[in-house]
Amino acid sequence: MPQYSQFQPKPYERPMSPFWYFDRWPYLKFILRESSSFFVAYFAVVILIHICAISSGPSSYAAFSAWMRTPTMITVNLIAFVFVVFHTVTWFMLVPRVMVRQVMGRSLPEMAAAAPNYAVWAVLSIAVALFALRVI
Amino acid sequence: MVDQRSNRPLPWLLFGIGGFLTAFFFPIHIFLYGIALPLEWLPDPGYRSTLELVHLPLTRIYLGVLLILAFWHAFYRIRDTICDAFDVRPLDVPIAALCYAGAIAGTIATVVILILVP
Repeated sequence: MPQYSQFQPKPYERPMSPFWYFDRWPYLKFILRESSSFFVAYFAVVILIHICAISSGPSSYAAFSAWMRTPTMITVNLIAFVFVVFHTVTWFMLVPRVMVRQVMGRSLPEMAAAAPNYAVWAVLSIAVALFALRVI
Repeated sequence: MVDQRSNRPLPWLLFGIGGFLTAFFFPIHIFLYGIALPLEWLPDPGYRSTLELVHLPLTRIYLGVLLILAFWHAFYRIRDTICDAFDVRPLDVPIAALCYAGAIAGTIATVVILILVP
């Protein structure tokens, strides 16, 4: 059991605004990046609903497609797309932070270290699109 | 401060792998099924063709791995986002419990839905 003195020193806590993330751009960037997780979870659920609709037959698939064509869904998906791309870019830019970037005694620029990610991203996106559109 | 080992490394591993998978694959999924196909920018392959695609074991394995790790990635981050954005770190334990429950629910739903594809 810890022994408490009569006047236990309390650590000073700086008062924090509930909207602290509007104070500085890096804070806002941080909270926007972290918020991308809501959109990842949202679209994972949409994909599950899509698979359910495919499993249930042509009529529920048509209903799902009609739902995806509503302006609300397109707007939400556009916002989700922007957030997820922000997640992708910030995630790729982590690579130069965690990787040793010494090439022949010189340090590699951040973009050069992250570049292979973008190439892989492009190739995988095209592959998924070709499969999804049944081109291959 | 209570000296305690963190139990975070395991979920962090799922968060990390899920972070890579969502970074690589989610933008194209949202673009195709959320924007391009509904707006008819691209030709819709139609119901039968899409069913055949989802029927393939490889597609289901891909979707299973992608979605399960996406759920773990998202809920790991949602927990910290809620704690930080609303400054409610003292409520971390119930928030973490809810978030992990969400990730487990997402995992079970993904497995069941993918097994039930005809």
